[in-house]
Amino acid sequence: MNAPSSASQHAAPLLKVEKLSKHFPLSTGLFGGQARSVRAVDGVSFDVAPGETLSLVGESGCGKSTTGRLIARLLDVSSGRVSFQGRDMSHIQGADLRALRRDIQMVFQDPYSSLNPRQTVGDIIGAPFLIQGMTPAEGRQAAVQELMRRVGLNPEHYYCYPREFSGGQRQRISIARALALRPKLIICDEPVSALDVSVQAQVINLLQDLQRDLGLSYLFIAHDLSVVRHISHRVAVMYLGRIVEIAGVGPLYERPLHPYTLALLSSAPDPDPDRAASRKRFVLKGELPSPVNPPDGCLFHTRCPMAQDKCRSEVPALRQVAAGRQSACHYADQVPAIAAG
Amino acid sequence: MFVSVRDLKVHFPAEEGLVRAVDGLSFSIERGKTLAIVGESGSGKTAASLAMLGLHGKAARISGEIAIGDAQVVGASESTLRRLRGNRMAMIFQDPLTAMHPYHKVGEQIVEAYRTHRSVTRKAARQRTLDMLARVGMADTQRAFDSYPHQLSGGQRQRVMIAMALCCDPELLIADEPTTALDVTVQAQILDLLKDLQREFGSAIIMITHDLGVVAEVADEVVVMYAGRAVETGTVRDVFYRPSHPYTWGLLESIPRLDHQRDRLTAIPGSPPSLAGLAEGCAFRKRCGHAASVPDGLCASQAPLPTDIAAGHSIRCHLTDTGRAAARSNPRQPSASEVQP
Repeated sequence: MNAPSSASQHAAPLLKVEKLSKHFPLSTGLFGGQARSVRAVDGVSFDVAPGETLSLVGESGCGKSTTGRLIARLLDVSSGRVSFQGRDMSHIQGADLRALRRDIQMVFQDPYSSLNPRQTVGDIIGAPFLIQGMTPAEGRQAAVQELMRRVGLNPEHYYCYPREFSGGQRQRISIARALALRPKLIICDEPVSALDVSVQAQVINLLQDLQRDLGLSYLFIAHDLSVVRHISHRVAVMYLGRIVEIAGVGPLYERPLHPYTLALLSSAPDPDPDRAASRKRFVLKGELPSPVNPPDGCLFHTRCPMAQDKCRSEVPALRQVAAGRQSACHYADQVPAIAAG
Repeated sequence: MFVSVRDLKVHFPAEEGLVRAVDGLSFSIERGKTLAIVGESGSGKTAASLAMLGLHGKAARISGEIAIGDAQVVGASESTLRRLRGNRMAMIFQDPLTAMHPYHKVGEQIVEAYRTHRSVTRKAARQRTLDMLARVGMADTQRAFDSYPHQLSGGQRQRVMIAMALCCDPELLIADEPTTALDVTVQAQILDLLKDLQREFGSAIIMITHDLGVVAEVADEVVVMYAGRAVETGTVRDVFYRPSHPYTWGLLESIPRLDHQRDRLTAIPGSPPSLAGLAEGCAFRKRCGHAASVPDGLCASQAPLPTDIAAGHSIRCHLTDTGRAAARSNPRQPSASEVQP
């Protein structure tokens, strides 16, 4: 079972994210009129324990991928702090940054565009060694072939090109590349959403096996709520650049304490016809507001069926609402009653 | 039956051999009912739907029978097809942005579609368009009418597509992954809208999807396709509660669930076969854990024919009733990883 070990919950966090923000400037007026910006990520805080999987879920544009890229330092942080093993790495550069990349790696969504079509699999998986100027003790080829075995690829295909592999196998190549430097944290950005259903399960199982065997932590970014339930220990739900709820996976799915979480869960298609027909839907009206022009007060109030006057004026803080649970809703305690109908 | 498809074949000659995109597909639907065609990429579900609309080019070799009411699609002249499309059947595509003209206002595009099929004045067509836009839930219909596709969100574009498809009251609506590009909360809105409109207009819907959750939400009847063939056909409850083809078992076991955590997903090993020059025998046999229990290597030598196992529930599989019961009580062990490119 996936329950996080009690040890990992109390251990010092591997990754600590505090009030992380990323503002992308929009074009300024011709005469330097007031610069506007999109707050793609706006004051996000969470941590990830060793051996833990924390998932970021939310709809497109909620800032989950941007958060992942900020932590991997593929984007520069606007404000806030990202610490890895207690060390602030929000603004490190050069050799320090390169050293950090040994510990934090990334797996991307699209196994077609994230692999260089002109490189052999051996070169792709071995590239991290070259970049870091490292030669594994057993030699690069042997190390790469061991990685290939580890992720379920045939090491004899060392000289093959990505085009010779199926989507699932390409994602295995991406995972092998991410594992090469023995990272402690892998940021997985929608790693299975481009794969066929029958192949998804293979990759999910592989990620779980690797976590068990190597003690990896995952920051898992996904929109598929069933996949997230399966793979996560804890889940953070994002909406318009902010975390609206964060909790252990079981409590969050069984008793959501933010109306947006409730809406997401009740909108997710359920592969069980009788249950799908009988369940009470909590369908949201309207669509995601533009992040350029976010609503006042609670960002969710424009779509929230529970919204009161307070929600239109006062921004709810993400606060502790139960042991190990945080919600950014003024009326978090009323959500279970709404869910029950 | 209102729609009846018998032994439909869509073959494409290619250098690597004949590509059997659809190979002997049969199903039927009544008015007011929804049939879901579910399958992975390359299973032939889109090729089948394009054949229903007569949209394949000259390269395709199409045989079999497609009857929509009293009209025959296979072998029909282009002018007959044009009369059928729009008036009697219409299609909703996955990506409305590429299905609409980027330089024309969406309202004008619906007007054009309507006037192609109905001899009405511009003014009447315009009124009809505004009514349809209101019917699919566009808040400000005049503004929606005057928008260009890029000015609308993904969910709004899909609503406009639905308005365009329904403006001529088609009796059959073919929806090819209509919600795949949408976020879950918007997906729930669009699925609800399609159900409402179906109740109102009594049209038959063919829903093409890879998402078993969507199937369970909307379908009355289900066709599971694999490598161009319907491996299992039945009611939605047959397929979800009494699945009888090893591929359907595999699909249902490999998806993570929303309601509980599974210890480990049972993945289907390998990946879907290439359709070019597909050899004799059952296309699923290399990924099937039960081919060995079928005598005489039948799975390798002969493609199984559709067999009724109950009224309205048929499969293409060589396993006998007892063989199937034994296989079901002794599910395949999670198998070794795929190794061949």
